[in-house]
Amino acid sequence: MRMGATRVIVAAALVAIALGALGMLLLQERGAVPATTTGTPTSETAARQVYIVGGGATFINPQMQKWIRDYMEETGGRAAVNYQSIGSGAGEAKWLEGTLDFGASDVAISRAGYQKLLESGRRFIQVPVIAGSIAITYNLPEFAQAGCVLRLTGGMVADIYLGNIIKWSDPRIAELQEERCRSLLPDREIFGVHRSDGSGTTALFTMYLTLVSEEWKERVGYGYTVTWPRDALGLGEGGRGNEGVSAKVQSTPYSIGYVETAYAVQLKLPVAALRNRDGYFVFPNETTVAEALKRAALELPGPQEFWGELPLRHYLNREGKLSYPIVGTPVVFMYLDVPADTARALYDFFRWVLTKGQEREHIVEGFIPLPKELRARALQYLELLVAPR
Amino acid sequence: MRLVDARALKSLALTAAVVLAFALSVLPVAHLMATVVYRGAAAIARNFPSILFDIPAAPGSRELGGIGPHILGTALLTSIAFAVGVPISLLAAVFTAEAIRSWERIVGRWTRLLVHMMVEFPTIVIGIAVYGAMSSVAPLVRALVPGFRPFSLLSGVVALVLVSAPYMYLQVEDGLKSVPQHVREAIYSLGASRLLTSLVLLRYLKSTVYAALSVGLARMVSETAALFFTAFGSDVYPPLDANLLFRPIGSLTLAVYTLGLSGYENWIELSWAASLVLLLLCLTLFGFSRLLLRGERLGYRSPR
Amino acid sequence: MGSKRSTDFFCLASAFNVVLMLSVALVVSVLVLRSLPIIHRDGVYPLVTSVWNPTREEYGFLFALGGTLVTASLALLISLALSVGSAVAYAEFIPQKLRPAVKNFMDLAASIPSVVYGLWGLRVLSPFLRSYLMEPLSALGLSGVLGVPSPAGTSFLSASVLLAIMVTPFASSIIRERLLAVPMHVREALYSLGLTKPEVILLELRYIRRSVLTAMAIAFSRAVGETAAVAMVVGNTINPNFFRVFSPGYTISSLIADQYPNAEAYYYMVPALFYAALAMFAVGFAVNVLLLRYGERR
Repeated sequence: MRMGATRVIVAAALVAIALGALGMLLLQERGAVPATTTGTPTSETAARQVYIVGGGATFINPQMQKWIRDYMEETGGRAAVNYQSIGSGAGEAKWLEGTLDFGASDVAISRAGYQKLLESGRRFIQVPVIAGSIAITYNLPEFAQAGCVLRLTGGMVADIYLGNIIKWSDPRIAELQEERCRSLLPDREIFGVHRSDGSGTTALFTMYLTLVSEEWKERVGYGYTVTWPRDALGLGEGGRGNEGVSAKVQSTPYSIGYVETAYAVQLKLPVAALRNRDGYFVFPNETTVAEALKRAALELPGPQEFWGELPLRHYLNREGKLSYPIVGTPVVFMYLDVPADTARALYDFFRWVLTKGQEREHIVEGFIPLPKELRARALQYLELLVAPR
Repeated sequence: MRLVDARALKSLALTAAVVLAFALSVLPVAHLMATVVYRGAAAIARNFPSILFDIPAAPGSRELGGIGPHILGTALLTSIAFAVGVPISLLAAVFTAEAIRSWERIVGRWTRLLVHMMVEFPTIVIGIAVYGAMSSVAPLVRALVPGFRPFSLLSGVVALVLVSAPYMYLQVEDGLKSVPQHVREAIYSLGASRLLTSLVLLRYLKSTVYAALSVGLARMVSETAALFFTAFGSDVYPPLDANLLFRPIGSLTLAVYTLGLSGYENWIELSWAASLVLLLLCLTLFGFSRLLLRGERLGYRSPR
Repeated sequence: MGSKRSTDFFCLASAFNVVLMLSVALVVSVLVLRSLPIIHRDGVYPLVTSVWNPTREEYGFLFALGGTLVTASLALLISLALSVGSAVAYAEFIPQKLRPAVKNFMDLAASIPSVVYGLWGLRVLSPFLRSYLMEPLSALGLSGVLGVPSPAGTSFLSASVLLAIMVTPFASSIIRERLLAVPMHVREALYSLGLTKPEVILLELRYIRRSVLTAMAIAFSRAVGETAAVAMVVGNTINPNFFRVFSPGYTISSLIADQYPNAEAYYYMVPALFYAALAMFAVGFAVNVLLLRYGERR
């Protein structure tokens, strides 16, 4: 038995090595790609496999993961893209540090980040990849039963989160509703749900509120995380992630919340109609979002300008009968002064994303392809990656 | 009569309370294991054997995909960290325990003190500290290795070594301290050098050493928090080339965490599958260390 | 020892001691250096306020410090009852034949990765506690005191219970070994005084109370530092009312796990999180020293 221990160790080591070797063999045979790949790449192509690392916005994660898989499948596994949803702020920070090949944010590079970029003197581009919008979701059992849909204005949403409007039965809300629904508004306090974690969704939503409410602009402002005045009244609470907010609204009668429309669609949450700048009540959908964004395409700043206030200036609260007011485009940023093979890999992937990736079969339910005007501009910017230097 | 009744009642109450406490401390864990086995096995059976090689399917899709990159990541992270951590902790322990001269004793005492402190550090703190250190040296390292990133297999390995080496060190050192002086002197009297003596002592303490190493390995396999900002995670295979060490890598524990928190049915299923693989790994290591300890009981006479 | 023998390769091994010492020094210095900016700016202010507003660069993390203390203490209390109880059950009621199986099971439980506990805690334990403990108690009107449970059941309480389940096998094994090591003559002397079993057990527990404290000290420091499992079940919400244990909140470790990725988008958030880590380490260390002062030296 004295030798037992040694023998056990040797045996275990041998088994481990054998398993490892077997695993490696299997991996190589599969070209280290999903089983769906057609054809076996030769070891030569496997050796020249490209690999890019990105991270950032949580919102586009499902879409990004689908793109990555579809793209890897189409390229036969020669390209691997690793995207981790670490949050918009992190995407920006880690990209700035040079830790990531590309960063992704729900909004754009912050002012502080842009300042650092200017100081570093590095060349870079920013490219929108998909369209998004924020839905106001709510839980009003009376409305659900009667088939009524809530109507709101931006100013009212701000007043709710500011704590200026306390109850659903507030006359300001009531006068917006359809005749038959007006009396159904309950004499109950509104419970305001918001994101607790730092998020681009919050940034976009609060940017919108600063546009439609002077008081919001003065008292709260915008950012990944803000302090919510309604919480201080005991009438509001945070939820983690879009999932957390949706779940909280679903389970709390008389609550209101804001989520990325994709989540509202997937979870079949009631969505409020929001009054746009021209005075029409609109829902977030492919038409209304594209309508709002297509105007922005012509005004899209240069790829290296400061985009931090892009949503404020160009996306939010746009004119047009059919424009939905809270829209945005998650933005991806990349350095231009990277090794040529990295630049090529980034170019190939995002070119695919902006062309084939925008087709219905590659879009996850609830996401909205970029309007073609915006797509054309994005592709133009992308060309800088492979332009002769 | 009443006294006896009260006593019997008291005894009964105590028995009940104690049995209840026992049940409450065993049942949740049993339920956990059963759940992991049940749900994990269901997921693995659904897509066997490709679940062991594939990458996770797109979130929310009907496909399941697999946890291949994470298994590879755990294998790479732990095997490299083990290969690096074992010599460090063994030799440091030997030096501490066998220190004779005053400077050696001082070094030993300080190592022991600092390592004791290290054991108290939450692993997430070790993780962010390693990330902080790696990102500050990154520009320098990049001059040598252009592809280097602070998010990498290398950072993950450093974090794992820092998490588990202290445990191995302390256990082995305690073992060495318990070796009676006459054994040590017997070896020296054969004319062995100190290095050789130490190696012979380690052999003498074989089972203690093996047990310490398997505890260390188990800690590496199960570590999550220290990997958040070091290994970073990867749901795809990195190219298996020379730059592997400098690229992000996934791990089974990171997979359980991120896939489990994701809110997508198919990813949560994968998270259970990854949990089962982890559970089996721990079970194997555990059985392994038990086997070695049995060896100790039979073959190794306690020095005390 | 002959001095000739010490001039050999043995000294080279000291290099590895240096490696270990340097790495500890590295961790400590990163921790201190990185938190200096906010200590310099705000002093103890972040420790005593709960205003976390990155937009305004305000980082009071009392809510997380409190969350850590509340969850770890609650976990400690639950685990104290469970581990002492199960150790007594093991020593007194489990038949000799079953003991190896029980022992192995407990030791195995202690080696399951915490993230697996986290997944189970998130998907099984939290909803269970919500439906069968928090909701009924809230319905009785306790929600005013203990807070409103969140839809998923993630809360300080869930984190505490999960932590208790995680640390009990380990704590219980220490107490169990000590209980079994109570000398036979002590035990016999107690019985010969005509004491009943419960009385003897209580006296035995008194006899080993130092070991119980040691076990609890180890359990507490594990509970304070645990990240993956806690971050999955604590709910990750800024919640200054950390005594409302039914409601979701943050602990320091989950705050770091949750906010660190975003932190570099701000000027003082990284220092604030390192400061929080320092505070967590100090708390764990202080409680440990306190408990170990009354417990035995390891």
